[in-house]
Amino acid sequence: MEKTEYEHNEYDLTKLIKEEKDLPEGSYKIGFKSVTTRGYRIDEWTGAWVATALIYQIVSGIILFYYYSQVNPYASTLYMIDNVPFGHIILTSHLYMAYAMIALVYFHMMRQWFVGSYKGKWRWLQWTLGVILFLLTILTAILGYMLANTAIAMAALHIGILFMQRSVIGRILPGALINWVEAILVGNYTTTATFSHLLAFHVAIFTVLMLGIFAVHFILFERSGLASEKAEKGKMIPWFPTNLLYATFSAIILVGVIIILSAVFPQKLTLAYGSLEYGTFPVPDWYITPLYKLMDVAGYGLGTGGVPLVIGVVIFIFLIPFIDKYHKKGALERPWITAFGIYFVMGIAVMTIWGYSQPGLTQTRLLTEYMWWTMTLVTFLPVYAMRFAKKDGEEIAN
Amino acid sequence: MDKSKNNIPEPERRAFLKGAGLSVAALMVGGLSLERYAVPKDRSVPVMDNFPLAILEDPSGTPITVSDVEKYAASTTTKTSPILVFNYPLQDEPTFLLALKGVKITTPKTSPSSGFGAVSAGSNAPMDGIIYDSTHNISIIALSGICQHLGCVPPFLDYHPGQNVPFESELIGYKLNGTGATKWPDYGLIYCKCHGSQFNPVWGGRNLYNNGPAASPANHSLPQILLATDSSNHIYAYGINSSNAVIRTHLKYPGGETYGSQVKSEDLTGGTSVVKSSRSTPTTLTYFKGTSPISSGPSTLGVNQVSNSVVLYKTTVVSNSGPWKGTF
Ligand code: FES
Repeated sequence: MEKTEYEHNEYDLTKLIKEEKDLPEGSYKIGFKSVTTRGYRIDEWTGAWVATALIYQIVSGIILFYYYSQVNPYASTLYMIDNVPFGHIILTSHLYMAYAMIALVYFHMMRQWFVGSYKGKWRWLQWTLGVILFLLTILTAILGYMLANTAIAMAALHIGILFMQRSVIGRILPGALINWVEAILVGNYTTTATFSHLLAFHVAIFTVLMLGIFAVHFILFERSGLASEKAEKGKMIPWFPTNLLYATFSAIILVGVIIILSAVFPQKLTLAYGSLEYGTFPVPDWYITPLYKLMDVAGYGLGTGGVPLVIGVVIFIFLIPFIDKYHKKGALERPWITAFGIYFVMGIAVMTIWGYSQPGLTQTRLLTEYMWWTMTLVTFLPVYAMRFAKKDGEEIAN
Repeated sequence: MDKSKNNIPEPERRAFLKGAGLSVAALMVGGLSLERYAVPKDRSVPVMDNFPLAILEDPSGTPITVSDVEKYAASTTTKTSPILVFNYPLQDEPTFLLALKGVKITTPKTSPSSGFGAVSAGSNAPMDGIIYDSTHNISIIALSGICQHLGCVPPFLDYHPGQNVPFESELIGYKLNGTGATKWPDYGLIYCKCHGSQFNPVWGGRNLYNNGPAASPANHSLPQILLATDSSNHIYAYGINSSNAVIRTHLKYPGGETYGSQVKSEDLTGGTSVVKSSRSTPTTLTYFKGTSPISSGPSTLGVNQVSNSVVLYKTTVVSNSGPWKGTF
């Protein structure tokens, strides 16, 4: 067997609470690790930004929560914008930070994907929890988007509910169970019940889940250390104050950028549910469109082929640490995984733009196939070509 | 890895497995009893026994008449037609009120598989619940505004008359002066901008339109809400054509895709009933059943009754412009 560059996966979770010995700065059970200067490279901080976004969402969300009323969703949202001091900026920044958070989650995930830091020690667990956090982030965002009771939000809710009933989800789950799942989401489906349920999920259930899983995700990170370096005596920079200051500064910058953007481009609330208007309509938020489009361009129409496809993709991502059997770490050393990663990034981008410009339009199967196969070609071919070129170069050098 | 497994003595492992099994079982039983907390008692329980008899009013509370609606009538040359919407049978359930000039709307046995105009009014083509004014040659029909695909409502689902091809439908190949499949029908279509479902209102209750350049993702027609008039030409809604489909959001899963009896029995769950009217119930109503108009007391309509007398409800017709501007 080829020698692997990875640490072995550690499946015995009881070892997590055992003291770690032989660390450069002594031994401890749970604590913040010091890192070498390499740890301050910006690409090692993608997770910190996501965490910043999460904390900002909680703080701004609490303020918004004081004014939101599930009995009068649209009116109370308008009230926040018009009558709460700085309400417009707080609401807009909550929205923009959600955008940022989702974008950063993608960024964070793809970075680990290409670097290959999802294997070894507890990292497999950290990755799988991360995938759950990714799903929770998107779900929470969608719920938040529904809370204002705009026409587009209700369209999304109606579509979502009917989708659950009519897609494989509803067809596989027995009648009583799908009824239960639906009831948990919308109660008896009256306006008030619907919005109390959505609110509970958005501000409490999903958020608490996210915080809890994030805590474990973070502890695992501190326990495993950076994937890209080995701790070395004498080269470590202590966590306090350097690391703390660095984290604080990067957080302040992110929050600052978002607040400035929200002050300059305040968001307008779109058409209320029930208003009648000819002409142009709001389209779904950009982070929803790829999901929606994926179900659509699967080529089998909404509901039949799309849902299993989405589930399949999620399961694949979830299981990557176990699917990836390569022994070396570099992106080109794991060509298949890297190519699939590029494919994923491209697919998400294409579907976001496509879904945003033609949200509801199903394309012909020929065009769909053409698109997917072209993408397959342009992702796999260059990766293998580059890998070949690299090997060639190495051989010449030797 | 193997080592760590062997570290745990056999009896302990068994005890652990047993414990885990028991906990899972307990959780499942507990989860089942939790169901009643998650599922409200009034879920899937109809808010009333039968469809309400509802008088159509304008936003100021005045009953509207046939001639009021006829002012909005669209013909084959109409460019824009205001949307008229009222909630029926429950609140939050928009229904289109359409007046079409120059056509007697009848319902064919099945949606025609070709063509795009009105179906010739054969002697036995039913007009159930459609108001026809022979002096002006105007039909008034009410069709559910909840898309039969995944439930989009107005303004996403919207009526576009013959001279108004929405941009979204041009994307799938419709043209204003197209021929064959690409032709935008004479009276236009109710078009859903969510995923492109098409419904042809001049086909009455069988309005699913699959004769265009792309098929509708929906697989049922928009349910047709039955209309009647009284002696002063006020308009009433009194039910849903049971030879047609169930309102999408009322489908009970599984087995919720049938016609007929289900239209009558399962439709009134998951919402709030329309408001009771303080007016007195009309003594006679006129409505189309089959091909001929019938006049009779409202109790023969099978509408909601409380202790043997018909209760009158009301619902407001709103529009995107004009005097009835409002939200549904
Ligand atoms: S909801 Fe109308 S076409 Fe999908």
